[in-house]
Amino acid sequence: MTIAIMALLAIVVPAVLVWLLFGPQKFQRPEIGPLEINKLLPVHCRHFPQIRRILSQQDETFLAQRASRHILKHWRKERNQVLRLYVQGLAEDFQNLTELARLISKLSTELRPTQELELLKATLHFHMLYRLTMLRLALRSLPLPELSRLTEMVAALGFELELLLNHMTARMPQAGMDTGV
Amino acid sequence: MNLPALSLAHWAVSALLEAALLVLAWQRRLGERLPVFVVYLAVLVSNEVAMFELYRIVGFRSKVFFYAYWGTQGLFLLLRALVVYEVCRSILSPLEGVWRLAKPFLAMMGCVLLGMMLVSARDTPLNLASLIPPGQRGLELIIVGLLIAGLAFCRYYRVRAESYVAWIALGLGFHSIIQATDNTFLPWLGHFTLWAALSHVSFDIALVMWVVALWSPLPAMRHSRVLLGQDEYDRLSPQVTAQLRELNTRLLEMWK
Repeated sequence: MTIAIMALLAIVVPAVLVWLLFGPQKFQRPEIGPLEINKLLPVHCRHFPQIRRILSQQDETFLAQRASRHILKHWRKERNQVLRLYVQGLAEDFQNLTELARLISKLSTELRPTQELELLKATLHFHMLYRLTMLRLALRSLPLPELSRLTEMVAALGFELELLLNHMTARMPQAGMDTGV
Repeated sequence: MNLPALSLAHWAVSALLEAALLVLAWQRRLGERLPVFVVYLAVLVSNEVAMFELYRIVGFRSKVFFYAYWGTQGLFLLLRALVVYEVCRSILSPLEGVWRLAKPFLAMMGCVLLGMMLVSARDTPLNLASLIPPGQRGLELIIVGLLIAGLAFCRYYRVRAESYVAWIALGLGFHSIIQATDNTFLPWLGHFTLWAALSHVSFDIALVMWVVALWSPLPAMRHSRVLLGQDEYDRLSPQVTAQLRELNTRLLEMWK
């Protein structure tokens, strides 16, 4: 048993080391200058009005009364595709926010272990939920009102963070920030 | 008993490569950045000379040579562990807060791995020949574990190691895991020559990786300045995390 584990480790560990040291970063962070930190703000949630329109039940009711089943089916398929892309966009927003949190941590003199653990847990949790949500969308069983709430949530988050970042960026030139660490 | 000519030739080539590496490290002024690694290289080169003299005087099969060999292996293990710490420090220390967080974590992890090693070795007979393979394996695994944990920190916080540090770290990790595996296979294979060959080959590969690390001139040292005060981290970070948690809650609600 030990021999099998060690043989496996002898293959896996060098591969892990190569990935940790030379592997591409999954998230390609936009180049952030002292005054450009707003690039990390959520952007996809700004399309909320258009998405809300797609989520509206009225359209479906209208089409169900007027259009053929074939057209209705095609319309649902298209809507599902749009929603899928939108949820992917929200995931990108989430990724940006975690990058922001890490940036704050990197630029701080002392980190709180509980706080960092919280961030790690939130990130892992999100990744799991995101994959499950995408699966559910693929099965076309996503409750649309919930997606609407999610969108509102990200939109509100973006607004609050914008206020926070405005405060941060105002301080950065004074401190001679080097974000390229 | 004398070693075969091929083994002696390999010994000489390895020693020359180590000496060349030490000269390269000196030329690149590596001592200003990774002093423990340079000390490790210097000890390696001195050891080759001393061991060869000892071999000439007492022979390969003598007890003196055995104790001297394993004694120096213990020293090398300790030095490699210190180099791993130095590598992690060199990558993470520009980020003051992250390094402060990583240090106790790595220390705790080292203690846990050491405890695991001692527990797993509790049934080993108390003689040197029986203790060396599991002991070396456990210590090599501690080195690998600490290296991976330190590098995971770097990756999580999106800190890239300089190319030369990355190659040095890869060489260390590669040699340690192969040594650990080799020591696991030794009692099973019962073939000392094969064990020694695998150990030497892994070390030679590590040496080549270190030559690659130092082949090009080292990049200029970067100095980073810390921007945020503690109060800002305490205020900003929980807010961002709370929002992320809230976002997760919303996603989770879709499943209710």
